[in-house]
Amino acid sequence: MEEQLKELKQTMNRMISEEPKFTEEQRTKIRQTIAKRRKQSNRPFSAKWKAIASVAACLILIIFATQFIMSESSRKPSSMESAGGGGNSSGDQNTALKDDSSNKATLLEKHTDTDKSIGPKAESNSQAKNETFALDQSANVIDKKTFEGPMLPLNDKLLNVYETFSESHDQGALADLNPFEVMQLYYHASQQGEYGTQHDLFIQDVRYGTPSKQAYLDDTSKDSAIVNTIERKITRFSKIESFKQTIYHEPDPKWLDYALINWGKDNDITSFRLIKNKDGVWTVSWMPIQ
Amino acid sequence: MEGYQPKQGSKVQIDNIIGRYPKDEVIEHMMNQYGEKLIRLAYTYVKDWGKAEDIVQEVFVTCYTKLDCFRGESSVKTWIYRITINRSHDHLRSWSYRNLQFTDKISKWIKGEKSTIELDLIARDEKKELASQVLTLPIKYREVMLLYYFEELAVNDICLMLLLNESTVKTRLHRGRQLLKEIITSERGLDDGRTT
Repeated sequence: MEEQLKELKQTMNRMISEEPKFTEEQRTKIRQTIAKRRKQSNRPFSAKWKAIASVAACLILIIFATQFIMSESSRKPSSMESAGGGGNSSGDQNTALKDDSSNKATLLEKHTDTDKSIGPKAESNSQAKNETFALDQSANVIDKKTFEGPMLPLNDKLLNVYETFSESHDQGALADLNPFEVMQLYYHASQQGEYGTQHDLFIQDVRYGTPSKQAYLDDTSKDSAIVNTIERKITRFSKIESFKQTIYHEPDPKWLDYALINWGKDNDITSFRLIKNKDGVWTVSWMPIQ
Repeated sequence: MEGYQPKQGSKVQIDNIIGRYPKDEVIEHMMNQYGEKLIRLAYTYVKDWGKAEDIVQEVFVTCYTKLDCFRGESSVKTWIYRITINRSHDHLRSWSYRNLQFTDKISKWIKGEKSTIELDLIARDEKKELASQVLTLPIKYREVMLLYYFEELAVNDICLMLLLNESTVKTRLHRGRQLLKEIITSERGLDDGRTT
């Protein structure tokens, strides 16, 4: 068999074909194909323009889609604000009528009108409305303002108020201050280490859980971690550029109106809560950041 | 390209002209020297002249486009044979080929025909019988047998073309010969049985 295998070349060639198979026609086909390829490679852009155009179109679509998604996600919180914004315009009018209880009633009526004006939208999605606490809150907004940072140090006016307050311990000294300014005093007291004065800024109402001054001072002096936390917060406040103050009407007459000061971005928003006492003075809620 | 007339019968060393001659001319020399060999080699894999022609056309076009990348690490012959073998393997692995094989078998089974492509090549004498049996071997034995005996290549060259170890090539050659012997012996046994 080995001998026969050695002659396999001749045998196989004779067997598979005795005529040449690589003809002139084959050569011509190859030349034509090569000529086509060369033309394509000489015009790289025109040959690939379809691919380039489709990739570019895809990229543009992706960019637009990303921008749309980002704008939608950023619109969500702002739409919540705009729901409160309706109350804001009425709230501005309301600020002027702050001390007039009859005007307050007018404000609340207006506020109800605002609710009605956004009503159809809310009704169309009544389930969402019921489930969204934030929307309920925004319905009670009576004023909204933004304050530019830094929060500390205090200006001269506030320093005077602080000095008067720290001596008198009378919350009436805070009567002309808005919630943001009261918050400034609270952190200034922390910064000064005057925890007694800080305690005087809390709402003095047992229903809100404010402890006695002695208990508060004892806890603060025992727990150095609290002091460190407050110091860290104060350092952070120096970097914050703006604070949003929102005043809410408390629909339940048993409780008092309150305000929230918000700062931070996206998922890292901090809220500081203040409560308007019976004399109409803004005081700090016990555990304000809770 | 269309107007180009190749130098007929030239026996140029292609390894020496790559990079010095125009690409078109190099391809013409390649076609002159390897065209016929490659089409027959491809046929031993795919057993279809139409497919073998397509494969060889593709091989020369690939050579043209990749000629600039040829670094001369192997000879042009090894390079072009390897491209042909790879293209033939691709074809054998392709869905269309497998589908064709399957439908061929089914149609022949339905018609009750005994002849296959291989049987069309049935030899009148022992040498032709042997050659036809080589074509029936499994592809991994068939290709080394054909490269060694039909293309008369050295084991080292086969190693380079198939990217295999020397020992693997030798083992496959040995096993291919054994298989051939077994097939021929059994065929002859059957023939003897029929005649007696």
